[in-house]
Amino acid sequence: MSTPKPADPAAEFERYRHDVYAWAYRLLGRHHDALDVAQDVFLRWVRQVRKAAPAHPRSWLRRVTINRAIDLRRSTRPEPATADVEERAGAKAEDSALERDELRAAVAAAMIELSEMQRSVLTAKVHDELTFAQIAAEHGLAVPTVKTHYLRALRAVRDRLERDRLERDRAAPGRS
Amino acid sequence: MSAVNRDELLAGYLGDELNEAERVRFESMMADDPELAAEVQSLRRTIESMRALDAPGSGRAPGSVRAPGSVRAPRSGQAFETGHAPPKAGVTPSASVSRPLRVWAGAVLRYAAVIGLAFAAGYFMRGREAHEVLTDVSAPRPAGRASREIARPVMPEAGEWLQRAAEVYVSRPRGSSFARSLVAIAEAGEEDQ
Repeated sequence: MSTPKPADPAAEFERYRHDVYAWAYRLLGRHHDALDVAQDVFLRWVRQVRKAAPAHPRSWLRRVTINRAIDLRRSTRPEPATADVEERAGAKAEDSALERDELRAAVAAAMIELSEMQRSVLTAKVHDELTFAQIAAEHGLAVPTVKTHYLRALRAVRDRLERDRLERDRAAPGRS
Repeated sequence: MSAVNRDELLAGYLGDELNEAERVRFESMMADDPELAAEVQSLRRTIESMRALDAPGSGRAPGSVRAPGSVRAPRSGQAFETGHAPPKAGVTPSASVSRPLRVWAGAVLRYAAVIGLAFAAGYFMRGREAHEVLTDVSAPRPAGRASREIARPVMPEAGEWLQRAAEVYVSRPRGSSFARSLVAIAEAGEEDQ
């Protein structure tokens, strides 16, 4: 489904670029990687709009951004995000950053196992705080279907986090 | 109650979208069913964990989750233009202080590369209207007007885009897809023609 082409794709993208950055950052945890993804998504957006503008730009951008972030995560060797300046301050902060890296990796790994629709619905609900009715309208789904996607996705992420926590506990007893 | 109905109430409860009667009903279900209560707890912890990964400057306390019945907090702007949150006082990275020459040389090289790439982009786009690169290339040109007259009103659009791409490029200390961006857009224009 598509709508008439917006006059200026760059201006249209402008409305969502904070969201695009945030969606990418949550999965990647590094400013420069998130910017790279945002730039790549911008290019895809310009090309897509020139063919046919998506009916629901935000939903389209969310799906493409999450997919690109996951692709980037898969293709690059994981580096600790502790290289970030503010996270170098002391061992305590490093521990905290390490835990956040592990959490981010676990969430990203769980997201990889979800369907594209489940990822998008979960992100729309948890991070964008849309209502089920808004998500349903954005994705062209019925509200009960959205709730089903949401719960399945949330349970999958929970199970993955739990599994990772158990593995960490086995590897380093008493750490968490 | 069927599992489907229970899940619908559960999703509504977690999303704070139940009305008062539904919420009371679901909470009494939880009181009678410790397994259900435990599931609600574990799913809420998962939501908190996911929210702990919010981007810097997202305007939400990491890991915050609204309790059912609470007021939805307004969202504020997120850090995109400025990148990550500024370094905290007292934690200036020693690495950047000890390598000023390298930082300056890097910045100069990046500016030089941007100027070179902008010239390259100009060469790519020569003979074509600037707006063709970013907008609909299939739109017919107005007849009987000189190309310079046609190009003038749309040039700021391409200029703004180039400037934005250049800003993103220069703001990064390593690696860039700026050149790739320009080439990809130019190539997409060729394909469409």
